[in-house]
Amino acid sequence: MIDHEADLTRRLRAAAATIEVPWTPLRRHHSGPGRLAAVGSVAVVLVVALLLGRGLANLRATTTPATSAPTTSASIAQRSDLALVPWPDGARDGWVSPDGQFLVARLGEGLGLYRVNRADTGIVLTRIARRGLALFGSGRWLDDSSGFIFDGRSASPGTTATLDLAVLERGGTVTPLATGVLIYSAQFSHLAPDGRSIAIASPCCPQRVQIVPRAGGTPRGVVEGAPTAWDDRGRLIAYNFRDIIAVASASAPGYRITVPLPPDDPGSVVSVQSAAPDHSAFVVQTGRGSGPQMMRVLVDGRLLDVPEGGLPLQWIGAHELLLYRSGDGRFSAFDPLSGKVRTLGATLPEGGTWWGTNGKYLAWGLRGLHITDVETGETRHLDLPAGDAGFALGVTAPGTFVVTMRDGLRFVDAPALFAQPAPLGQLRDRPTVQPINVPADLTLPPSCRYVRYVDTLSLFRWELDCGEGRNDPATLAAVLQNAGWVRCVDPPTSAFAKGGRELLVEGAERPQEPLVLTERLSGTSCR
Amino acid sequence: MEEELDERWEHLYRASRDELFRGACLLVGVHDAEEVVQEAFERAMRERDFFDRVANPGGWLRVVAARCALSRLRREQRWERLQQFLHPRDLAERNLDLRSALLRLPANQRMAITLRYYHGLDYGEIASALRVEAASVGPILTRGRAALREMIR
Repeated sequence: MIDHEADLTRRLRAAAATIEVPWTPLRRHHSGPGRLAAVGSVAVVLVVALLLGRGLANLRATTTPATSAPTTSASIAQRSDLALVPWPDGARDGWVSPDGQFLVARLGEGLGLYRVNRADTGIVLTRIARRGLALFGSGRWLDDSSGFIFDGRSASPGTTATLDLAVLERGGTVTPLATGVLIYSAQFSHLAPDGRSIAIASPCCPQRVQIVPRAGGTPRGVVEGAPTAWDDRGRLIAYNFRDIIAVASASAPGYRITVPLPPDDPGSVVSVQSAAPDHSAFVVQTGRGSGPQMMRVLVDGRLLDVPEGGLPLQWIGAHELLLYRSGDGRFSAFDPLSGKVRTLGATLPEGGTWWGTNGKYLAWGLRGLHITDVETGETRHLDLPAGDAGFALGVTAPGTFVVTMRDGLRFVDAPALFAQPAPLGQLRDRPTVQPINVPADLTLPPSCRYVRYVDTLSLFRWELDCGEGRNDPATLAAVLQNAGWVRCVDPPTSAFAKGGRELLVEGAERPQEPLVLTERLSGTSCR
Repeated sequence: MEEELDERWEHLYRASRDELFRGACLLVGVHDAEEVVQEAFERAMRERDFFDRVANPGGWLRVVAARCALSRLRREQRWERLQQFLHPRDLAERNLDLRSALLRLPANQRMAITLRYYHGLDYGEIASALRVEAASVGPILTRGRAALREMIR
């Protein structure tokens, strides 16, 4: 029967599996940038206007209302950095590198590579090279802006289309990386932090993670599964539908975490959507191949549900997950280490497309462009002559949006639009995020923040980051003593005691390592 | 260029058609399922730079297909209410199979049940698809399950 939700899921899937799916080809639609929508809108306006007995003269006088108005909006004058940079050489669209220094434009016969020069008179594009490269759909810039990685056309043996992966270098040369790779490898490739390797997925089956030398060469299969990210110690994080695997690097050992799937869903497959920047947590998708899927967060070996109604969007700070909750329309920030949820000031604008940039700014709109500070909800409105084709947005560091339009590009410096811009390093009120079980009387110095929390049967452990060079016990000693904690004299360590509790403060041995605060739960040896 | 676009759409279509079609069948029945799937793809193809901007094309299509189905359902159920007013019949049917029972649920409940238990969406995604508050999803599912229990008893 269907007394339990799992029963209903099982029965509904079984019932659906009996439905025969006849093959019907995909109907040909006019794909393109808003062409049908624009034509449809005009047609609807015409019909409505004619039904209302309005003439064409009235139609011309009609102004289109803006999309849902932001709560706090301030229009600003056209800025010089909003000036149009026309597409070069008859290009139709293109991609700006993450550092904002280069542009790859799609030309009629291939790709054009340009340098983005900022002159006193405005932004000038200088052509570096034109290449007759066959691009399969799309490509993207590598994270370090060293080249534009793209899928080139290849043979399609059987039903699986495979592609050739290559990089258009900033100097205009082309570096072949791999042939016969899985479809869309460019979009889902991962450049190692040292810039020397790129992780891709091999064609199915079994799918393997392959590491390709950035300079080109023979791909090396490292583990069965698909790549997710690299951590800052050079380990490749992959998943194989059950385990998360960190492939050992020269400087760090590997590890494997078996995702603890719910006991009532043992057949689930797992994909790892993303890793927190500090790799303390992962967004994991559980479910069956073509059936129901759920987003959960894996932290400290436990699988947590995302707070009710939340959609995980992206990581912000070290390990906060930006969520969208449809209930009140607001964004929130969820720290899976502490379980804390903060409600942010911004709401998801209705109807408009939108993008976040590291969780700091939201850009949205259909005809005008709105930039919202996600933390406060403060919004700036920019007038754009979008025409009927709308626009697309990209992001370059730091905090600059690139508006791609039919007639060219515009660069928008988001932080410059706000009197007190959101800090790009971290969100403003990070110190209010507290791990669970933290000593209630311990208030961290403003420069410190919790980055990880671990509990075991015998101790609680918190890792803190107080800034490079400041992760030493002295940073916390004054805070602890002000709160009534007394330094232990025997044993002579950085241990502090208060009311039968004992905290040990361990400094970092290397600048990038955290400060570790440990509470012993099995009595104290401190005197 | 058009040829390249077509290849990507074809690939996505082949990969997602079965699930979308079956989900649409649960929502609107087999006769309208084809239209729902094609309409969802038509909307996707109108999106500018769909493959660059939509991180999860399958998820996007599931939600849009559900919204297309809901629009159809609401139109049909207005007609059915009119028919019921003109020609009353006993709606308290029993011993139905699950698919038949599902097709007798009100549109919101049918959609929430399908999205949750067939497609596996979470409450937030269901709320977004139904355009209701997330807090309303739980009660809609509870009422839907209770009604299904009654009908298939």
